[in-house]
Amino acid sequence: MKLHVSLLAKCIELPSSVITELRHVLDDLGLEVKDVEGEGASAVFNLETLANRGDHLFALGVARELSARYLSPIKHPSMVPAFQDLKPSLPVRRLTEACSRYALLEVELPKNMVIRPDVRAIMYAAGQSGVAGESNKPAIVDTLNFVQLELGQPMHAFDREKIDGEIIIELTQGKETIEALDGNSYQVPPGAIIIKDRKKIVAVAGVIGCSNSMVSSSTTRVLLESACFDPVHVRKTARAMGLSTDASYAFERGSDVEMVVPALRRVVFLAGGAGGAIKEEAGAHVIGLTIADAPQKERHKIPLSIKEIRNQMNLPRLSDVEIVTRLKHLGFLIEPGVAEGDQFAVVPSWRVWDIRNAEDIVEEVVRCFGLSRVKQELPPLAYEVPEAPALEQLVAKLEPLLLGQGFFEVMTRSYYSAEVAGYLEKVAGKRLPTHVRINNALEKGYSHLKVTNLVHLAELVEENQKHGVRGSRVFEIGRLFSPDFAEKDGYAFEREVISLACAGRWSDNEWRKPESLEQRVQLFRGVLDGLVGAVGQGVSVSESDEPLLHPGVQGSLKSGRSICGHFGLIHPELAALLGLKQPVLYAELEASVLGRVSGERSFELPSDFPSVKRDITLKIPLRDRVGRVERLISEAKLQNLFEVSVADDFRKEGEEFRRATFRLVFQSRERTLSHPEVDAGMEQLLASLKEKHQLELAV
Amino acid sequence: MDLGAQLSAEGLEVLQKKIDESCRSAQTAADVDLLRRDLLGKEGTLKVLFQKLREVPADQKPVVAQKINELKAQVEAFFAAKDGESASKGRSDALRAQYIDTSLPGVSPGIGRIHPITQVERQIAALLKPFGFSNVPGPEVETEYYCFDSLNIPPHHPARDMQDTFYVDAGDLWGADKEAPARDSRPISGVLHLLRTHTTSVQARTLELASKEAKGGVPVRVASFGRVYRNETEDASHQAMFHQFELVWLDKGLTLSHLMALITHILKGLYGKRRKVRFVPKFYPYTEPSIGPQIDCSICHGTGCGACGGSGWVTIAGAGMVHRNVLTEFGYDPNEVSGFAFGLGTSRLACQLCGLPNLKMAYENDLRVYKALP
Repeated sequence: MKLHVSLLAKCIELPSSVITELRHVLDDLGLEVKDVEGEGASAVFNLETLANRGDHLFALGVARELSARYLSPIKHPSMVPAFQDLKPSLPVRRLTEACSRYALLEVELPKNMVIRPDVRAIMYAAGQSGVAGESNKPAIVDTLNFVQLELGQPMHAFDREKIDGEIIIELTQGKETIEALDGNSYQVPPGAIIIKDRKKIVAVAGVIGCSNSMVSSSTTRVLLESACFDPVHVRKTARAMGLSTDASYAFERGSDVEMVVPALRRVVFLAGGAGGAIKEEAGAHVIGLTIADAPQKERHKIPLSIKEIRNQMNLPRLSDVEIVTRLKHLGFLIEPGVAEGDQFAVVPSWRVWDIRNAEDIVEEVVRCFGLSRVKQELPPLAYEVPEAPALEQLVAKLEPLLLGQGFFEVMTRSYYSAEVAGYLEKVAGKRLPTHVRINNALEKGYSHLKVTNLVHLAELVEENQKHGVRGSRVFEIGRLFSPDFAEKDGYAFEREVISLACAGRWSDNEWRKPESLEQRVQLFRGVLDGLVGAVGQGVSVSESDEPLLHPGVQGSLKSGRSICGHFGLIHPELAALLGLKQPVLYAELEASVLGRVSGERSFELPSDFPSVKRDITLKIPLRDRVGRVERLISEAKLQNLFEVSVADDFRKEGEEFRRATFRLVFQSRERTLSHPEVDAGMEQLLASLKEKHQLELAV
Repeated sequence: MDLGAQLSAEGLEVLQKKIDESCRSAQTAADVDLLRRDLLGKEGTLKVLFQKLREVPADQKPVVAQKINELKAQVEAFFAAKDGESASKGRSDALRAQYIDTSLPGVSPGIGRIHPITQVERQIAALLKPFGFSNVPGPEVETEYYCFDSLNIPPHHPARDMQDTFYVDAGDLWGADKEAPARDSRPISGVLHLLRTHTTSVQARTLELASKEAKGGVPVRVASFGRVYRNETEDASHQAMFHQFELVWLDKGLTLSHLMALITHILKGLYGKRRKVRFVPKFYPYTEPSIGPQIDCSICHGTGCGACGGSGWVTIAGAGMVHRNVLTEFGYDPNEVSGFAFGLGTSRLACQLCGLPNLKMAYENDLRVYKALP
C-alpha cells in the first residue's frame, strides 16, 4: 500500500517532518515501511500492512494509529453535510446478507469535469493515475479512488444511462461470465455477490465492475455505489476469478459499514457539489440516494481488564487513565459495566472484523504504548531437563564416527521430478515404494516426494566432483515418504533414515594411488560397520535384493537379527539414466531400527581366563559370500565360542573356489579351556559344515 | 710397549701414563682394535706384566700386583666404553637407514562437518535447555486441520495467502479401496493433505497430545526444528523448502513480558550481546498479541542501508501469545492457562551466522563451501 505523506498530513499533525523518524514510528506501529519514494512532504511510503488490518490501507486509519500513539487529534476530511430530503434514486433490492449496507447515489456531473489538482497530484504519486498532471481516467473515477486512499471506502461508478430499472444484490447460483471494465472476460464462481440491473450483471461486488455499465469521460450522470460486503465472499470470488483489485484487497480485510455514506459525501465535496471547493456552477449535482441495509447489530463490547494489560506488560503502575485515553483515540468507546469498577470497550465500526476478545484489547494498548515499553522478565527455569528424543540420541552416537571418516552433512530437497520418479520406476519396477505426489507444484521439478535419497545424494557427489572435489562423502538425516511406510513408524507417510553416499577417492591425497572400487566398497563397509556397531550388538552383512542397487555389489546390514539398512553400488542402469560419470556407493540406514537395537545393547566384562584360537581355511564357491559362512560358524552354537572373524580370503589361479580362513576364538568365563575340548568342538563344526553346507577344508 | 726394565711401582706409573696417552689418541675403531690387541692380546702388555710379576721381589709383589690389577681394570673399562659407543652408533645408523619421509601429506579421509543449519539448531536447543524444552519433530506431510484450521486459520482467511501450500495427492496415498489408518484424533481419510507450511503445526499436535495425555496439564514446553514447504518459484532468496524452528510454552501466568525476554535471550545468544533487539506488532492468526522480533542490521547497525531496505532493522522471527481459540480448540481454558509461541527460519539464520550470501547456498551442498566455513 502506498501512503502519501501529504495525504496523511491532512488527517493528523505529523509527529515529525523528518521522513526517517516518521518511518521508524510507522514500523513501530506495525506498518512496515518497505521503501520510501521521494522526499519531504511529497514522500510516499510503500507499506506492507498486516493481513488483519483493513484500516491500515488508508490515510485516516494510519492517522488513528498516530493519534493513539501521540494523543493528538484527528483532522477529518471535509465533506458535504449529511444528505437530507433527497428523493430516492433507482430502487435497490438487497437479496443477500453478504452485503450489510448498499448506498446508491445518483449524481449529475458537470460537463468536462476536471479533477482537483491536489487529488490529481496524490493519485499520480500513489500510482493510480497514469500521467503526471493529466488523468487517464474519468475524473469521477479518480475522485472515488482518492477517497478510498483517504477514508478506505472502495466505491464504484455506473453510467446511469446504462443501468436498467433497478439494482439487485444477490449471490450467483451457478457460474456466470462477465466482461469486466479492464477489458477481460472472467468466470464468476457460484456464491459470488453480484450487482445486477433488470437484465444483466453490472458488477462483481467488491471485485470489479462490468464494461456494460462503465463510465467514460463523456458520462454526465452517474450512479455512485458505496457498500459494505462480506470479506470472505469477496475473497473467495476474487481468488476464483484470479483477480486482485484495490477494492477486493480492501473488502477482503474488512470495510467500515459506517463509512459507506460519509465516503459519498466526501466524493460530492471533492466533485464540487454543495459546499465543494470547486465553483458551484462547475460542481456535481446530487439527484437521489437509495440506501438498503441490514438491521444494524449492537456493537461488540469487550470487558476491559486494566489489571491484565498491566500484567502482560509487566508494568503494575501503568496509568488506567492513559490506557483508556489511548483506546479512545483508537475509536473505542469505554462504557461502565453493571458492577462497580467494570468497564467495557466498545469496538469501533472499522474494527469489527478483527477485534473479538480481551487479548485483542491488550494488543491494541501495547501497540499504542509501543512494545519497547514492555518490561521484559525471563520466565522461570525448569527443574527437570527432559530426555532427548530417540533420533537425537542416535545421531549423537553416529555423528562423531561420520565426521571422523570425512563425511559431510548435507540437506537435500524432499522431492524430485516426475522424470526422476520415472527413472526409478523403470529400474525398480513394481518394487519401488508408492510415491506421494504433489498436486499443485509451481516448479515441475517438485512433483514427487522422494522414496529414496539415492538420487539426490548421487547427483550431489557428482556435482561436487565436477567442482573439483576429488572424494565426496556425504550423509543426510531426513525423511522418505510413501503410504507404504505407514505401518513402519508413528507417522503416516514418512520414515526417518540416515543416508550416506560416497564417490571418488577416499583419501584426499593427490600423491597416493586412488583406491580400487573394491577397496572403496570395503572402506565404505568399514564406516557402516562402525555406525551399526556403535549402536548395535555386532554387525553382519547378508544378501539383499535392493532394486536400485547393483545386483552384485550390495548387502543388508544386520545387527543380531535386525536389518538396519542396506548398502551397495548404485545400479548401473539408474546411473546411466541419471547421467552419472562415476560409481557411487550408497547406504540407507533405518533410524527407527538403529534406535531399537541401541536400546537392546548389553554389556559384559571381558573374561580373565586365557583364550584358545583355531584357524580353519575353507573352500568357498566363487559366487558364495564369506560373510554367509562366517555367520554359519557364528550360529553353529559351539560351546565357549567367543568370536569368529575372517583372517584371510584368497583365490589360487586356476581354482574354481576361494580359500577363506576363519579365526575362531574360544574362551570361557569360568575356567581355562583345554585343547581337547576345543578340538572336539572344531571337529563337530567341520563335520556340520561339510554335511549341511558342503563346505570343506582347503588343503 | 717396551717392558724391558724390571717391574717397579715407578715403572708402572710411567707405563700408565703411556697407556693413558695411547687411549686418548685412539680415535677410530681401527685404532681401538689395535690398542686392544696391544694391551689385552695374547702377547699384550698386560699379559706380559702378569708374567713378569714372578720376577718381582717378594716384598714389592703385593704393591706391584695391585698396581697391575688397577691398570687392567682401567684398560678394560676403557674398551667396554668404546664398545658401547660403537654399538650405539651402529644401531643409530641402522635406524636412520630405515627412512620414511614424514613431510609428505598425511593420509586421511579428512574431517567432515555438520550442516550450518544443524549448527544453528543446536545453538538454539542449547539456549533453550535450561528452560526444559522437549524437542518434537512432527510430521512433514500434514493435514489442513493441524496446519491451518486448528490454528485459527479458517479457509479463505487472508493468512492462507501468506503461505502458498503444496497439496499432496491423498487419493494416490490410500487408493480407492484402502481405508487410511486413523493415527490422529482426526480421521485422515477424506481430508486434504499438504506439506506443512510452518512448524506451528507441531504446536497444534503437541497441544492436542498434551491436552489428552496430561488432561490439560501444564507446563507444556516444546521446541520443534524441521523442514517446511512453500509452493513458490525459487530464486536466490526464496526456496520452496527451508527450515524453521518453533517453540510453544503453556503454563499458568505466562505473559508477553516473559515471551519478549525469552526471545531477547535467544537472539542475543545467537547474534551476540552487543546486537540490539526490538519488537514490532505483527499479525498471526494463531497468536494474540502477535509480535515480530527484529535485530539491528549487521551492516549499518540501525542507521539504514540498502541491505536492510533502509529501515536499519531486520525481521528475524514471529511470535506471540497463543490465541485463545487455539487453546480452546485443544481443551485448555484460556482464562486459566496462557502460553506463547516463537518461531524463526533457521535456514536464513544459518546463512546470516555463517556468512552465506543467500538462502539458496544453504541447500546447494557445495562441499568446497562447507569445508571453508568458519
